[in-house]
Parts: sequence; C-alpha cells; structure tokens
Amino acid sequence: MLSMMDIQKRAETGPVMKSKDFDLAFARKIRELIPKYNIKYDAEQLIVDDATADEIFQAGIELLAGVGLYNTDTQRVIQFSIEELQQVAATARTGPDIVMFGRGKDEVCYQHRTGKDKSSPVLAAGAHGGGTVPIRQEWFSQFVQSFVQEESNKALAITGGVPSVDGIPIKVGTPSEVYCALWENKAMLEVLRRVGRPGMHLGLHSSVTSIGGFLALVHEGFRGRHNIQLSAHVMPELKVDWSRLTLALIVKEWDFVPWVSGMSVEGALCRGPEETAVGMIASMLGQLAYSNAIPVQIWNNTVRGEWSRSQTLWANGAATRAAERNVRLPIGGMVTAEEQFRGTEASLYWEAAASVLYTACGFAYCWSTGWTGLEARFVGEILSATAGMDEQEANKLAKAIYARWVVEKEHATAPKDFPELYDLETVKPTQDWLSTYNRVKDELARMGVPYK
Amino acid sequence: MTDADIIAMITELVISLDEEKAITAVQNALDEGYDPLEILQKGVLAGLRVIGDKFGSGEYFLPELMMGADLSEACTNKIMARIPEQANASRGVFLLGAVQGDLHDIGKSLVLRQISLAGYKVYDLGINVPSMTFIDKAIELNADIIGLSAFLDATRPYYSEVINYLRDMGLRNKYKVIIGGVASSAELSESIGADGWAPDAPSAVRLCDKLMGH
Repeated sequence: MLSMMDIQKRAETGPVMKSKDFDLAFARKIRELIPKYNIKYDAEQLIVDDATADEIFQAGIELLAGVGLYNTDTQRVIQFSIEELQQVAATARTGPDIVMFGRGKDEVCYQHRTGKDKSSPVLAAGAHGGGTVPIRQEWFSQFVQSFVQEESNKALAITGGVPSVDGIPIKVGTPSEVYCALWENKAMLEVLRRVGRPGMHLGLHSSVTSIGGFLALVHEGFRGRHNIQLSAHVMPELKVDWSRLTLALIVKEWDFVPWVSGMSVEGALCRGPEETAVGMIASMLGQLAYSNAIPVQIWNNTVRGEWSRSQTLWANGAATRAAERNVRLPIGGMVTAEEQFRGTEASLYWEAAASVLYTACGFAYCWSTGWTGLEARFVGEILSATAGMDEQEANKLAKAIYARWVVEKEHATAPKDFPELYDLETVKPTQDWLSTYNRVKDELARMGVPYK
Repeated sequence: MTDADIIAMITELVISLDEEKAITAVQNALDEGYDPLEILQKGVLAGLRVIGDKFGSGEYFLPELMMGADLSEACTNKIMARIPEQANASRGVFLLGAVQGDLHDIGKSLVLRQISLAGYKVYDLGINVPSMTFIDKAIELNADIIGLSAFLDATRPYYSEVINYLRDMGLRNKYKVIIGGVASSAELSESIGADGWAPDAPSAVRLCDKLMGH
C-alpha cells in the first residue's frame, strides 16, 4: 500500500488526460492483454484453472501499470509501476487474511478461503435494495428483520436504504442524507435488539456516501469499527476522485474497514468476460494500492444492467480465483438475480447456480442473496452443502442449475416485493413463498445439491 | 471510380474506423467537387449509422463509438465548411451530465456517443454536475435537450432539482429534459415532469429524435 500523500502527489503531477482519452487507452491496453495472456472464456468450464487465474491476475497488474487510475477531479493519471503493484499484491498476500466484524456473540470472522476449503463461505446476506426496487419506510424494519432473524446469517453486509423518510427524499450531499440515514440506522439497531443480535455487523451503508454522513453515523454511536464498511472504491473503469481518496484516508486512520470492490462493466470498454475479469483485478489492485483493505468484493455486470449470465459466472469466478490465489484476502460477492426477477421462483435457480460456482471458486463470504431473508437461508444452505465439493463436480452442478435458470427465466412471473412475500405482522414468509422455496430446494436436491 | 464508389468508400472507411484514410477520402471528394451534403449524409452519416448498429448487435463497443465520434467530427468539420449555412444544421444540441453526487460515467458515455453518432451536437458536462451548471450551460450553448444521468438512489432528487430550477426560472418550456441511469424509470420521469426516460443509449437516440420532431 502506498501512502495517501504519495497517491495525492501522483494525482496532482501525473499525465493530464481527458476522460475519453483515458477510456480509449484502457480499451487499447486491455485488448492487447487478452491475447498476450491467452485468456479465453469457456462456457463449459466455468471454474478457471490455476494457471488461467494467475494469468488473469498478471494481466490485471499489467493493465493497471499500463493505464493507471484516473482522478476525475484533477484529470490526471495516477501511475504505478509493475514493481509497485507486485509489492502491493505481495503485501496483501503476506499480511493478515482475516478481519473481524460485529461484537460479542455477534462477532463474525471473514477469512481467506480457497475453493477447495470445506468450510462454508460466511453468509453475510444484507437487505439489498437500490435501483428501482422500492423499499418503503412502512416496512423497512420487517424487511431488515427478515434477514437478521435467519440464524445462519452472520452479518448484514449491505443495508439497502429507503428512498425517503416521512416524505423527505434522501438527497446526497444535503442534510436530508444525514436525516434519513440516522432514521434508518436507528430502525436497524432497534431490529437487531429485538431479535437479540445487537452486535451484528451492518456492512456497507448504501444511503450515506458523503464524509459528513459517515461522521454523523459514527458520532451518533450507530456505527463504529465493528459494524460499518465505508465505500471508497474505484469506479469502473479505474476512476477515482478526491472524495473517495479522502474517505479512504479517514477509514485507514480510524482503523475502520473500507468497502473494496473490484468492479468492471462488460459491453462498454470491456468487450467480453475475459476483459471484464482482468478489469476487476486491476480495479481491486488500484484500491489495494491506496486503502487498508482486507475483505474484497468482486463484481461485474453488463452495460445493459444484466448479470445473471454464463459469462458473468465465468468472469466473477475467474476474478475471484485470481484474487484468492494472488492476494489471499477474503473474497466475496453477490448471488442475487436482476431486479426484474425479484421474488420469483426463477430467481432461486440463478442464486443457486451462482452460490455453487462461487463457493467452488473461493468466495469467503456472500453478501447479497436475493430480496428477502428466506433467500438468505436458501443461499446459506447451498453454500454450506457445496463447500469443499470437487471442482469438476461443482462445475457440472453449477452448469446444470444455470441451464435450468435459463429455461425458468423465460417464463418467470412478475416480480414481487417484500410485502407480497412476507407477512408484515409476523415477519414470516408467506405460505406461497415458503412453498416456492421448498419446491426449488427439492428440485435442487434431485439435481445433486448435497443438502445437509 | 464512380460517384457512388467514392461515397461507398467513405462509408466503409468510417465503418472500419480508419480515421486518417476517411479524412483524406472526404477531403479528396470535396476537392473533386462532390456535393458536400451527399458526402455527409450518404458517406459519413451512413457509416456512423452502421457503427451504431454494430454496437447494438454487440460487434462494436464503447471505444468504437468514441473513435467513430472523433472520426465523424473531423470529417464533418471539413464538410461543414463547404455546406451553405441553412443546410449546416445538426439534428439538435444535446447536453448530458451525471447529476450532483453521482460519479458513474460509463452509461453516460455510451448515451453521449450514440447521440453524437445520430447527428446531434453533444456536450459532455461530466460527472457530479451541480444542478445550476446544467442550466447555465444550456443557456450558453443554446441547447435543445438536457440529459440527466443518475445511478444512486440518493442522487435521484437532483433530477427534479434541475427541472424545478428551469420551472422557477421561467425556462422550462425552452428545453427538453430527459432522464436515464439505474436510478430512473418511466414512472419517475412522469412524476417529476421530465420530457422522457431512456433506459439505454439506443432508446435515448429515439427519444431525442421524437422530442425534436425528426
């Protein structure tokens, strides 16, 4: 990790470049690297071998060394040498591979995990919101509770926010951001107390993005080292700004844990899953260069907002494996299907396929598992059942479930929101949703998921 | 070479993104007295439409759109100097930026390139753009359409902030306002009084054409 003052100096003295020219440089470089490292997507072999994982990692180093990080405020490039990035990776690889969140009996450990480990990835299934999915103030508490009350769920790695509180919309960078975030956090902590898990990790706060909002949460005592991760990550593709770098420094100085997210987008600057996998690694390395990261999440989608695809499985799995082997940090991610499939039987097949595959690729934790607590349970059972499964067996099983998802999604029902899936009085799944869960689980067992 | 061959060659050079040769071919055609409007419409713009189609079919990606936009600008600048002013109009002036607090720019870049390829004069205001900057730039550049992009839920209120500024400044009828990005929807567009919502880059082009009456 480089010092933040060094990073700032580079951001103020590096080559001046227009954003568009940086994007083109990125595209040219990544197109050169894929044939050089002979990286090829294979729909039949969704789990890459060790050699391919290492090639993807090396290509990620070369990409970042070749183009750098772009500071959108200074319009300059923060440059790194290959040797510096190798040192960044080596520091991560030889440093702590474990991080604790939560307090007391709710403490949870995220630890580096390989795809062969028999231990299950940690289920840290957050109440995922965002996009156009409505999470309403009226049922926010029940929504959160549905996840928290699942015994197998050890943390809320993300807490989706409500769009408004008492009619006041959350507006980033204004007092309403703080106002609404304080309401949300008070509500969440009340839920934790109610279900007897007061020390649970609450993960990434999705409603607060500003430093002021973060300070307000900490000052009020709602959030501390034990229960928050701050978002100071690189934006696709390889772009940062002063606010992120400043937040990263605060996080480090306070010994908090940053939210590190190796992200890339397929179909824009990256053409296919091979380039996207390399892009995710470069993004992760950029963040490791300036932040004190231990857990790292890996994520990609397409420019059209799709991610429940074979190419995504391959790219996420490949980047997970590349990161797991070469920085040896806890790597995690999400298995949720796209918003338009929320609350459907079809979506459970995607969640299952992704859970099987990413467990075999080396996920150490899984942080978004669908839109209700019942899906957290569903995913947790699969993580647990398939941890340590033979790699080829996992590949075959994931492909079979994925094939089923492809069929099911074609006639998926209309999406359902939380109040249609849970009884808001009892905070239990509706009989219909529970039956769906049981039906899919039975089918997955027939397909070869070795439930415990 | 026939006239049609010369124009077809320009089209092909644009499609293949060979900037140097395309500019040379355009310059040669102009010097030889070909109709500038024909070079533009049947040569350069026809090539750009194919680039857009290739993006839609997954054959081309954002870098190709960027290269196509640069190439077309260079060719168009040469052609415009030879076209009478009344024929020299673009399809419209389009401003686009990510609203205040929003740092996501990939989707925005795609929309910008596609709209540029469709023949609009485009201006990229960048990311994290203060609401009043949209207004100031729209006035300065005599824009037709203001495009607002947002990814985060908490940046969504800035869509309506821009529209409210326009309304309160008596400028709402002067500009069309369209919204896009993950945080947007058709319902939201209607509820805040925007002129339309575009879920992706091709639909943004269609929406702009519709609003401009093309």
